[in-house]
Amino acid sequence: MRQRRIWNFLFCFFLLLIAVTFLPKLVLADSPLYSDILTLRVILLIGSPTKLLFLAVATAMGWRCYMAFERGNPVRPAWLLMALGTGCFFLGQSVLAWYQIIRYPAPTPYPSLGDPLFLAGSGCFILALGNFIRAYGRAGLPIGSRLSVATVIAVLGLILSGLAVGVLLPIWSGAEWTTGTLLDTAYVFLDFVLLIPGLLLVRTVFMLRGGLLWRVWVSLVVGFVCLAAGDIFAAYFSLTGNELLDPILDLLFAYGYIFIALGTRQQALLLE
Amino acid sequence: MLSDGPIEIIRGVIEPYVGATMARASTDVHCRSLGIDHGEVPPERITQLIDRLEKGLKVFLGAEKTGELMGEMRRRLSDAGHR
Repeated sequence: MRQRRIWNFLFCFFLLLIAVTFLPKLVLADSPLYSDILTLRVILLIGSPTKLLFLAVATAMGWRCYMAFERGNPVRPAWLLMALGTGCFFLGQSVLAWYQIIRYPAPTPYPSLGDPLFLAGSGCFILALGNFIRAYGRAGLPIGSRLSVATVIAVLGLILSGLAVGVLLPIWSGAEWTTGTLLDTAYVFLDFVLLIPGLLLVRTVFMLRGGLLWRVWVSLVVGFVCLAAGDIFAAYFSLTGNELLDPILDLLFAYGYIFIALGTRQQALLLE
Repeated sequence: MLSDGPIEIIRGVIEPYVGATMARASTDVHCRSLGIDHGEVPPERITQLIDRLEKGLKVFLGAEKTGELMGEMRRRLSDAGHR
């Protein structure tokens, strides 16, 4: 019980720390708060280790879930993919942390060695969420008939494709095709694909409200939506060069990792 | 003497985990397919219903935890005179 309280305190503390570090920057970027106290160095020293910490927690807890589910359980591979996904993100974030903390003030290159790891991680997340939906459907949970699921996928696919093109067109138009452009395109594409199973799961999650599993899945879905939104905004902001909105990206990524860690930990606790 | 209906007891055991809506939806779906209405329920139908719910819960809670939960469900049903 005491350990649970400590963990809950840690999650709340870091959610608050990230909010108070990054949100005021949207309106106070030129104030002494950010030129003297929360300098870029300090912000990197808060943000980078926080992301690494919660990605490590999510990987360890995802692995614990994988090991706790018995062989043959249809969700076991999904939890392995979750652990692999967060593990890839952890390694990718470690590459960024190397530049942000060790090599500071040298700029973090884009693309970097971290990008293939982030792309691989996103692929694992898409496969994991797809596996969860298939496993829950096969287990007889009322997630909808095949026809209704196919219809929802088609409608979401169309809407998200329209949005993706809307985001990608400015990236493609007039820009020289570089590795960066290809990466921006890949991130936006993968994140919109990730949103399809994520939004499909919202239906099932909504039915779990009030139960302990509700907490698991609300945290996971919020985490994935934050990650997808972060990547999509990052691609868009990098094109428009709007650095004023960078604090939103930091907040979205950090919250994404914290909520995914929270969800995987709550699932691991349920299996104890 | 029967204190509470078997379906209500079954729902009561799984509800803390899956919530009231999913507990109701799951039992309703399985009851319909097993031809159970919410009056008198034959013991063999209760067993079939528990087996089906067990399969669904395993994907959320794993075999071990689900086994514990099903044991609790059977005990409560037995205490209430339904098995």
